[in-house]
Amino acid sequence: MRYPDAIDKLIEALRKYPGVGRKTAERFALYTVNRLNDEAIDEIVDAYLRIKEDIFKCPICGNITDTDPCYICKDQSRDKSTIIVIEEAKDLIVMEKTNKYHGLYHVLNGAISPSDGIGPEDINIKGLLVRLKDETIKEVILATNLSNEGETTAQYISRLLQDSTILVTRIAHGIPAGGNIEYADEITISKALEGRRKL
Amino acid sequence: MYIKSLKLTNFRNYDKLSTNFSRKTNIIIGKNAQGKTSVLESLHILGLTKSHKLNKDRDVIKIGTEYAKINSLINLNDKDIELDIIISKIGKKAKYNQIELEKLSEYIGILNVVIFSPEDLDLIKGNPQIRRKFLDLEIGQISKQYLYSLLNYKKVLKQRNDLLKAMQMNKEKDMMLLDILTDQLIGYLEEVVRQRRQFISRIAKYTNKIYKYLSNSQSNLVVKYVPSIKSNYKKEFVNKYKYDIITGTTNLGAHRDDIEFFIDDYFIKTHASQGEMRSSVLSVKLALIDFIFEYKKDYPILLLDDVLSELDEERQNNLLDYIQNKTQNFITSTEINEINLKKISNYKIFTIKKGHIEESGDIEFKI
Repeated sequence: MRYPDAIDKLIEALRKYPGVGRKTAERFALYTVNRLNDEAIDEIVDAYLRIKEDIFKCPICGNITDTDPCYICKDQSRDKSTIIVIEEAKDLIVMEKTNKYHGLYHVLNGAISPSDGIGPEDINIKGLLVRLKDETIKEVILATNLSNEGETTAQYISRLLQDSTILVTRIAHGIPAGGNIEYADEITISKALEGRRKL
Repeated sequence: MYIKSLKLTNFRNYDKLSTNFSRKTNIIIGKNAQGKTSVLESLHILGLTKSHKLNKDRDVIKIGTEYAKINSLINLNDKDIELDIIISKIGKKAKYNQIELEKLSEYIGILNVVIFSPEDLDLIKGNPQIRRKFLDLEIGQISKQYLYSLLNYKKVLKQRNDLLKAMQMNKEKDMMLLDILTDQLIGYLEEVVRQRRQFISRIAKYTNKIYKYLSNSQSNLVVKYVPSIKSNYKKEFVNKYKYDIITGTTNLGAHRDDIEFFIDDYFIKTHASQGEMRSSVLSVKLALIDFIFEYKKDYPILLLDDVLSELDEERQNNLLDYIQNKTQNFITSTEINEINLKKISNYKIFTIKKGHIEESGDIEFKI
C-alpha cells in the first residue's frame, strides 16, 4: 500500500534533515496528518515562509541575520580593530555569550577539507580579504575548530596574511576552565604543555 | 597481569563457554577445527579489541546470532577487574568494570597481549603492510600518544591524497594548500617515526639476546627500521610535490615504512630457512614481552598458537625456560605429548571438542 501523494511528498521533504531517516519522517508526516489541526499547520508553514523571506547571510560578515547588515556589523559601539574568524554562525553565539569580546566577526561557513570537496574558494575567505583591505583591522583572531580541518583553514588564512601588517593570532587550547588535571586525557595535557605561558 | 576466568557467548563456534584459568600455564588440546584458536583469538580481542587474523570484527559472531560477547575477570596489580568486549554487526563496545568506555583507545593497553601463531611468519615473509600493522599494534599497546598521532596522520594523509587527486585533474593548482597539508602531515609523521624508531631500537637489543638463547647460536639477529624518509622531511616532500601531483597520491611517509631482519649479514626474507625464520619471529615476539615489562612493570599475556610442535626439542625447551615465571601462558596443540610438560611448572590442561571445553588436569596419566 502507498500513501497518498501529498503524504509521500512530505515524507521525502522531511528526510532532508540530518538524522531523519525514512521511519522518523514517516512518523512526523503521519503525526502532521492525524494530530495537527489546520491552525498548527498554518503556524508551521508561516514559520518556514518567514525563514525563507526574512533570513539571509550578512553580506559583510556571513552571519545569519534578518537585518542588513547584521546587528553586530551595524553596531557602532563595537571595536572595529579586531575580527574573530569562525567556521559557523552558531560559534558566534557562543562567543557572544562570554560578553568578553566586543570586536567584529567573520563567518567562513565551513572549513577547508579536500576529502569533502571543500577548497579555500568554497568558504568565505575572499570576503574576509576584502574586509581586511577596506577596514581598519589590526588583529585577526583565528577561532576555527581545533580539528585538522580547522587547523588547515587557520594556517591557510595566516599564510595569506603573512605579508600584511595585521596581527594574526590563534585561540589557545588545552585543559578546560575549572577542569581537573587528573581527569584530562594525555593528549589534552600535552597540548596544554605545548601552549604554556609565562606567569 | 593474568586472566582468571573467561566467558564466551556466540563467539565463533561457541554458543557458550565458561572456564577458569591457571595463573601460570594453560594448555589447550584439541583436534583441528574444534575451536582451540578461537579461544586464543578471543583473548587477543579482549586485550587489543582486534583479532590477530586479518578479518572483519563481525566474522567472530556465531552464524545466525546477532552479537558475540567476551566477558572476563582479570587480575591487574593484585586487583580484580572485569573486562568485556561486545561485538555486534554494527560495531563493538568495550567495558571496564561494566562501564562502557567511550573510546576504544582508552581501553587498549589495559590488558597487554602477545601472540605467536603460524601466520606470524608473514612478519618476515609477507608484505610491508603486515610489518607496519605490527608496529602500530605493539606501540599502540603502550602509547596513547602514538595512537593519536597515527590516527591523525591517516586523516591528514587522506585529505592530502584527495587534494592531490583533484590537483591531478585540475589546471589550477593550489600549491599553498598542498604545502600546508604537508606541514600538518609532517607534524604527525615526526611523532609516529620517532616512536617507531625508539620501539625498534628497544626491541632489537632484546631480540638478539633471545635469538642467541633460543637457538644456542653465536649469530646476531638484527632488526632494522627502514623509514621512508630518513631526515629533512620537508625537503624530501617538496622534492616530490610534482611527482605526487602526477601520481595523485602521497609517495613518501609513515605509510611507506618497513622493517628488515638480518641474521649476521644475510637478509632473512630471501636467505633463511623456514626454521630460522620461525626462530627469528619467535625472538621478536618474546622481545615484546620484555619490552612491555619495561614500560608497564608487568608481563603481558602470552598466546602460543600451535607453534610448540613446530619447534625442535632444544628450541622448545629453551622457549619454555625463557617464559617460565614471567608471563601467563596459553598454549594450543593437537597432541599433549608434543609438549614437554616437565619444563612447565603449574599448569592446567583443557581439552576442546566441537566447541566444548573441559578441564582435565589428569590427562597426562591417561596417555
